[in-house]
Amino acid sequence: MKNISLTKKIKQFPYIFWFGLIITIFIFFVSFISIIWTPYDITVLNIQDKLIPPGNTLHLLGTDHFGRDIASMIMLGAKTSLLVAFTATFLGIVLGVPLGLVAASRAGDPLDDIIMRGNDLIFAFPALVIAILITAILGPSITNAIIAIGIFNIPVFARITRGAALSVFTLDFILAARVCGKNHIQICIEHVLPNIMSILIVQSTIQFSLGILAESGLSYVGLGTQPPMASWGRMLADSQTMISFAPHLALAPGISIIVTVLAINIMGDGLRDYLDPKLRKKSA
Amino acid sequence: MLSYLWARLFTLFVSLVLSSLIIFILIEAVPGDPASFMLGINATDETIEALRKELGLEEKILNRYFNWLIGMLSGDFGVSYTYRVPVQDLILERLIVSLPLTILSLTLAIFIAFPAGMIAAQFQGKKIDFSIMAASQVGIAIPNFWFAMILVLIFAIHLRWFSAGGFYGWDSGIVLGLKSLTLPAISLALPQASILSRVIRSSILNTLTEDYIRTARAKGLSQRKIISKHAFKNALIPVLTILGLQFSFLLAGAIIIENVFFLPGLGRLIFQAITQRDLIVVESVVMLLVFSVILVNFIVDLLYLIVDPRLRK
Repeated sequence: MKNISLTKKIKQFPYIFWFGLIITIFIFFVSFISIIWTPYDITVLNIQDKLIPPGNTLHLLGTDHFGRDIASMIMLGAKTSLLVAFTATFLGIVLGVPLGLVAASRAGDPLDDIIMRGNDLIFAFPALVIAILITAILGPSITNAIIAIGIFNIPVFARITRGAALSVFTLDFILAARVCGKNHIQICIEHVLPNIMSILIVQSTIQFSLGILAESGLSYVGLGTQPPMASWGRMLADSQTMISFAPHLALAPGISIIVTVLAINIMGDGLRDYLDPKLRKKSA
Repeated sequence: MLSYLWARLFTLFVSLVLSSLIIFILIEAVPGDPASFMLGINATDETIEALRKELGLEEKILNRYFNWLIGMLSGDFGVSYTYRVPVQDLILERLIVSLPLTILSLTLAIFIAFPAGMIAAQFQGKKIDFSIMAASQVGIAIPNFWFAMILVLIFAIHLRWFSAGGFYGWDSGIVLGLKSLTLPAISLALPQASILSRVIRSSILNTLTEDYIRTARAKGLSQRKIISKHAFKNALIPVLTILGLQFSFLLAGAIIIENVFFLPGLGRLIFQAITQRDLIVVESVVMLLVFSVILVNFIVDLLYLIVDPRLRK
């Protein structure tokens, strides 16, 4: 692989992958910028500037009913979305992948059964239901959203890890590693994990984009991000009563969600096609 | 086959017991006493004590769990802390909105996804395949509650074909009832149809590589006949799996969509219950939702047996 030139490598990816990647990088960039700078301070209310339609020279995307700059809120909302989706995906990986590895290395054992049935059980709880339960106990907060989506991600990663690891465990080099005296943990980390990495990366992109959709949904119903933190879901909830006379309030966050999710999904698809040549023919 | 059925029934039973235990323990962990919450800050200790006894809060935790479980099995879900009416009545009253909504959107999703997925598979690599796949990719990325708002903007506010929200109730006729569920069902069906059509397409394409398809082709059957007669049924298994998994998304989606359209369904009930700290209602509705997810996956497992004769052994 190493002697293949960079341009050749780039050409191996479908062009749509680059499209998704560039938009994703742009969204990440915008959300990083929002940490240090936004065009306006969204905690300051300017009622005299309320509901300015988009296209204004001072407010590119217009303002909301409190006179807050929509573009600034979109930027900060991007940060919230990415933060929640990233942390939740990370939670799912950190807890799900080891569970899947243990289950695969003990395939057929009662331990494997217990882990996988436990996963099935968690899977019966939709992320929204987990969020409802946690909110009933702790009250609404952005942490609840992260925990709820993260818990939902655990069985997803555990299942996919177990499935992929099982086929790796049957290969000869695992036997060789065992002969060398390596224990289960060493084999899992040094030999199995690198071989299932591509599957995990692709799944991460899927869970990441699902996380963005889930965060917006939870914040929309008031179980996720709380004011004054900006969130695309919250912006949509606020815009609902004003949609007849200020549709731009709903359009900006909605389109932001769609573009972000679409870009990440397209990138994930391209990545999958590249990492798994067997799939290339079928999905072409 | 019978042993498979028994094993499956046993896991169904165990997962129902375990999930009820999880929900019960979580709700038990909630700080605060429901009795003093119901009576407000002016209540005397004696009245709180009396209400605690009436609600069964004085009993041991294990007894309360079994009482709750046995109560639910016999159709008695307890009494709502805020409404002071039996929880099962509250749920039933909301279920006649939520259940038709879920069924309607699932039917809609299936009716869109199957033709779309089959056409895409039949014209694999052609323009029509590309457009269907692109549309489904966008459909997956659209949050259904946003789509719902856009539908309201177009069909309720501008065209005035539908009302922007609310529910007429089934008393005012089935047509009016269905009419108030149309926009919610469409917005719920969109992401479902998008995901399903992709699964249907790839599942059909997978079966098309099988030997019996080559035989059918050698017999001189057209691509359309091959797909509808031979590939379709065999492609159903992964589709069923996804349908089962999607069911929980559909339920969650319904809860959110009900909020967009102010439909008096289970979703509205549970959010009201959360803000009013009516935990017994939260507990029961969550149990009902989890129960239905587990049950649907059980049914899907049984459907495998019908679709694939090889599994019946």
